[in-house]
Amino acid sequence: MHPRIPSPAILRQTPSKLPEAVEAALACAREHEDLGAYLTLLEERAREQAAQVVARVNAGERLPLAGYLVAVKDNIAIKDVPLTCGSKILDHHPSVFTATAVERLERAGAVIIGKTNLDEFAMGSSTENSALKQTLHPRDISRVPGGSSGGSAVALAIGSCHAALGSETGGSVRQPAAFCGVCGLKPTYGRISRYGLVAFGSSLDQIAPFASTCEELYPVLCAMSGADPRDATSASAPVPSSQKLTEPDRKLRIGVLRDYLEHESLAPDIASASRDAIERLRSDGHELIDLHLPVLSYSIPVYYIVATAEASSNLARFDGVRYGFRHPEADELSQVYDLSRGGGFGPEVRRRIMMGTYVLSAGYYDAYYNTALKVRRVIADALLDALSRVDVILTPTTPSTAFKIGEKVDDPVAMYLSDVFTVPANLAGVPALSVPWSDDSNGLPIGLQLIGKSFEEEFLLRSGMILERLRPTT
Amino acid sequence: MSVTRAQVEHLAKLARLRLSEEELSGLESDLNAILSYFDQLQEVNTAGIEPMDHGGSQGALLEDDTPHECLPHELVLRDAPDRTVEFFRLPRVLGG
Repeated sequence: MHPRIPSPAILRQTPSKLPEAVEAALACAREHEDLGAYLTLLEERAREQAAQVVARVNAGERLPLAGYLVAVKDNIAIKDVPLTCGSKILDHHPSVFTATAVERLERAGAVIIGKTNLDEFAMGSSTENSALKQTLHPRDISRVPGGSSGGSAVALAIGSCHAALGSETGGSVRQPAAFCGVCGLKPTYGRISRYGLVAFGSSLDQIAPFASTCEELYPVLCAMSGADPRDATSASAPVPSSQKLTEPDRKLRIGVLRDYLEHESLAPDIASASRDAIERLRSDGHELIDLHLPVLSYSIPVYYIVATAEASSNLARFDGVRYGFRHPEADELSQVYDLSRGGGFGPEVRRRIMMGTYVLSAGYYDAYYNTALKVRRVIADALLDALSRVDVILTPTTPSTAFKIGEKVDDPVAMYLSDVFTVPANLAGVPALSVPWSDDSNGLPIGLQLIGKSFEEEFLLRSGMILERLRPTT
Repeated sequence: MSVTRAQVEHLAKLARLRLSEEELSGLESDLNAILSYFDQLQEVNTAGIEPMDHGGSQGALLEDDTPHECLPHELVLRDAPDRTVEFFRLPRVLGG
């Protein structure tokens, strides 16, 4: 897909073109309204912001994100803008504050174009669980864009923005990035403040950016990174400065996860794309090292126990008392809770709250939750140990390309398995990147994943540039 | 392990979710399918392993216990489904 708006580099050099670019971006979003990428277009706000950025640049301010138009997943708060989480329980509830990540983007000169669709409360892998809108794949409208950050991936793929924010709990940015043919980075746990991100699974959640290329993604990451007194889990690790990104100046040691290349669910086209990538990397002079980490096969059950347990606790706050939906027939206190929650949450959210309540309940806590936490450590240790022996680990991002709408909605476990290759990085807290590689025989994008070491996102993105250079031209 | 219909009803109560008969039945079979998928974790040897109950390599930031600005009262009440001037309003709990 061709970008319909000038690149951030061009807009940075000629900021006077920014207001025009905002109009082009808004027009593009409206033209593709049928794809359902956006829930709210911030037309007036974006125009005002663009004018402010132009004025700031003209006044001599150095703004690393001047020229960036950005879409934001609608589970991230922007003051006075509706925050829906794709749910009826929060329908049109305007936020009373702005997320730190968005505040930092705007301070760095980015213009926010709109809020994007998602699986309700980020729970899903196809964006089919949004209670508000269906989002369609930009290349084939009978297919899903992936999820849960499907709206952001589509907003970027159609060319209505330069970068987009999503959130990751188990692959919710990398999986739709792979499905839609764009780059998506899950940063290290703690790298970006989560203040203003609606909590789902707090030991896993991260705000995570999409962009068309690694080079364009990097300044967005830099602008958002760093400790924040309003998020006690944000990390104080040094933040990379956003100089121009280049490929690493040495050859890499790249771990190849054999378990995934031989995975029973891996589509043949993705298997051959992965083998092609390995061959091209080897010809380019890199050392490829086979890794065998069988314990990673337990990642999905561990993830769904941990994530649902944390979700059942986090979502207790939506109770019909302070904001959002209160059931009109509730005439005693317990009904305010039971009816508002029963009627306000959609089916997948209810299912996960029930699952999480079960794994935390007396008698089952040890068998499920505590066991999952122990296996989580085994998985994290295995991944960290492997990462200590290589520079990065290469895997396919997803077992399949974009699947058909409705194909997996009645089978929760099948839907969960579409995150099978992305979840380990979330469990271990390490960064991971999905880079578009090639198309399958249906013309659908295939993404490759690079997993890196904690707080080494810069190196990971520089490594991603190697894949971008080596990928087959279409 | 598997869940019974009665357990599903109890869970819905614990989770504060009013669900229809049909939804309860659907959840009973969904939860059983998911739980049987979870059972494979019993195969992993976890003897002596400490549970990993946080996401990062570093501990949480500690904050000085000093007062700072919080959201204004009126803003917090702005989106209440029902309120008085100063409070959230709910159906009467005692002495009704």
